Amino acid sequence: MNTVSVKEAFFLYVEDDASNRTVMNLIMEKAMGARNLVIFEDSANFMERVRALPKCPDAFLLDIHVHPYNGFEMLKQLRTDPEYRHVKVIGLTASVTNEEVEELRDAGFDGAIGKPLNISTFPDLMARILKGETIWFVS
Amino acid sequence: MTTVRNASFPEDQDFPTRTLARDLALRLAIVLTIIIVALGSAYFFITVSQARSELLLQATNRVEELSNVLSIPVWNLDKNSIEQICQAYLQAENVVGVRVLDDTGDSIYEKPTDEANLIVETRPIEFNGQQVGSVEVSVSTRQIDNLRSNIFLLMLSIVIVVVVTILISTWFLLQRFLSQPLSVLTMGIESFASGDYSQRLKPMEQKELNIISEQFNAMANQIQARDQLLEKRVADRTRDLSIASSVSRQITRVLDMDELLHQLVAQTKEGFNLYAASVYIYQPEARELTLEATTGEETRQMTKAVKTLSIDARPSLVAQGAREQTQIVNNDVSESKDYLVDPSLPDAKSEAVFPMLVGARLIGVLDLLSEKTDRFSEADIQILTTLAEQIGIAVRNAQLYSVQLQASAELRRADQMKSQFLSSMSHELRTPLNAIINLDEMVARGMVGPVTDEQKELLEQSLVSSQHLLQLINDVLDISKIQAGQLKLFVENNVNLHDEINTVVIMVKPLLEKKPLELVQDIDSNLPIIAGDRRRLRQILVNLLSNAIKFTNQGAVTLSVRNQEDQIKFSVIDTGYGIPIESQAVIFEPFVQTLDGIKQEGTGLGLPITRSLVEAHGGELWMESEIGVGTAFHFTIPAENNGRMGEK
Ligand SMILES: Nc1ncnc2c1ncn2[C@@H]1O[C@H](COP(=O)(O)OP(=O)(O)O)[C@@H](O)[C@H]1O
Ligand SMILES: [Mg+2]
Repeated sequence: MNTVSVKEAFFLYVEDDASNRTVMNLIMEKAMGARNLVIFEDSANFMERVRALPKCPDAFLLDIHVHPYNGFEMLKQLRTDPEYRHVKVIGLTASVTNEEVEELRDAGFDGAIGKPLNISTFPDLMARILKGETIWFVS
Repeated sequence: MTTVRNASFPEDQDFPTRTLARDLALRLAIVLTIIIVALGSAYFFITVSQARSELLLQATNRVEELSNVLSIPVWNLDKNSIEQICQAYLQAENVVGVRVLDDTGDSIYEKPTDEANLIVETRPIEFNGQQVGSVEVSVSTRQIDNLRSNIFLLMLSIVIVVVVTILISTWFLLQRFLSQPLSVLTMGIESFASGDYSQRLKPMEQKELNIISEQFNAMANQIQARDQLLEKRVADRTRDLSIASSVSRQITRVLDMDELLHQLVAQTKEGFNLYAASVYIYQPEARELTLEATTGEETRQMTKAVKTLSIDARPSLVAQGAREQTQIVNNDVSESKDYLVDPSLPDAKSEAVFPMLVGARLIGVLDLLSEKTDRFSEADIQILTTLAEQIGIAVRNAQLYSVQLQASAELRRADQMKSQFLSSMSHELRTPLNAIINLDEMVARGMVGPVTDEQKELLEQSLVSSQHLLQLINDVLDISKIQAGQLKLFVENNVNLHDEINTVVIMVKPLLEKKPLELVQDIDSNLPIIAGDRRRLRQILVNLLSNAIKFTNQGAVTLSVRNQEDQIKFSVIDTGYGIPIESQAVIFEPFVQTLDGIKQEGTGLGLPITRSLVEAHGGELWMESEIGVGTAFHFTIPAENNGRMGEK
């Protein structure tokens, strides 16, 4: 499977905090030059909306504390759908506790990134994730 | 305890060394020797005197014959004939000397002898009634001497033979008829004395010895019977005691009251072979006894029927025992009017009730029933009283424990709520802060359009404050987790220390910019890949390095990392203010800062968190400091030697 470049890659970000959405938009655009970012402001009808996307995202960036489905539940919905079973799913969390990272790993996330985002390293992390690396980078 | 044997033959007293065989042989030998010597002497004297009188007779006969034969030759002075005759006589047995004298006493013929012991006989020689001379014959007594020494030798050999014979035969006979049977007896008695009470003696051939053996066996039977009785009593007591102690040992370990009491009544019933065992617990407020545990199928019914019993109930041995706080034993309940007949336990014949007391506090009552009358002896009562006391203590412990359990469960709940609160609270605080930091940073970097130097300066100040706030939130959360014992590491087993150190150095570099300070790295190039929590390891180093930079105005901050085979030793050494000795212990406590520390910004949480993180990794943290010279913080992280090396 060919790896897409950060610029070409299609990202889906689920985040209910407006400021954080702004941050992600800015980083993607200004620091990474990524053009394909779709943001869900909540997780209602999550799978339907995912299926309605023009194509399958190369990476799912899920905030954990989202309503009505939290990050774990969204992951589970993705993993139970054969079409999305193998997509890359990264948890984004402000809770830097190890318990949560451990839970993310056990639940089957492909990686976790802590907030606040490290603007210098974030583009590189994304590139590595797209290459198939598992990344547990917490703050 | 002294044994009978030791008492009759104390160690220091000599055992008799004389033996029967020796005594007997010695005496027999002496007596026989005396007899032989006496008989021998008599024989000797008789024989010797016989021989002597025979020799005398010989001498007389020879001398008389000679006096006759020599009568004519002496008259004629026919010397030739005299000599012939005399020489002929000298040939005769024992005759060793002859002398013939004329009437004037002159010697006519003489054959002298030099022997000393002689018998000499003299006779006149007559012719026609007229003495014409005399003849003298000497007979040798050498024969008697020979005889004497022969007899002596004979007697000596007889004595020797007899004594030897006696010695051998008495030894043999005694051995056969006395010593052997005696040693059989002795061995039997000894093995009995040393504790083999089943030892009996075989019948003996000799009547006298057989009496001993029979008497001994009779005595042994008695002793064995007595011993078995004693042993049985001791065994019974020991068994009861060991049941009691095993019951009380087990119950003191069980803190769950229900389980405790059920085990207890079952074991007591089983162990003491009873009809039923029950435990009532006293409820002081209600002045009631509640049946908490009881044995057996039949007794279950009773549990439903009478669950509580007033302490004033009459008749009831249970209530009475509780009221009077003393044991009540009734060894024949059919005779008693205080006994409350229990329809579900119709076969009860004896009942014993033991109050369970802790000090003066009544905890409950142990109620025991037996199908036998006279079941509870004095000794049983003693043991069971102790058992009831033990149960009382165990129940009291269990009661206290459950109170404590409730209290600590409440505490734990409160603690969990606190942690929960802190963690969601900090999450709520962090979410906007994270956005602030990221947005601030992007604006400051000029990512969203040009900024003036002044704007950039202000944005960076705002960033520092935001990050400090975030640090504070994180630290408070960390310390609350540490204090709640909920700190968990996210352990990965491929931690490359060189990578993590590089990251840390990049992170702290900005702090150095405004000070004439050098960061010196003295790091072994062969650090192993270890198992650990990357983020936490970085946090430890960042804390120590940022402290060192914060509290040092000039000079150097050195990070040294040494590979010590089974562990890695990290040292952060600065040339700063130093920490006064009296502060050195307290700075590891949360929120403690020295005066210098307060002047700088900080939370006072860095060191306690750092130490806990090191310890959570299985390492140790310690420090050395001298005022005006500097401070060194050292810590170790264990390294499992799996042979993998990190790349520098
Ligand atoms: N390298 C150092 N040199 C001098 N003092 C130090 C050093 N490290 C720690 N301290 C003292 O220990 C205190 C506690 O440190 P810490 O727990 O990290 O809290 P904070 O750094 O937030 O003040 C500091 O306030 C400071 O007084
Ligand atoms: Mg500090």
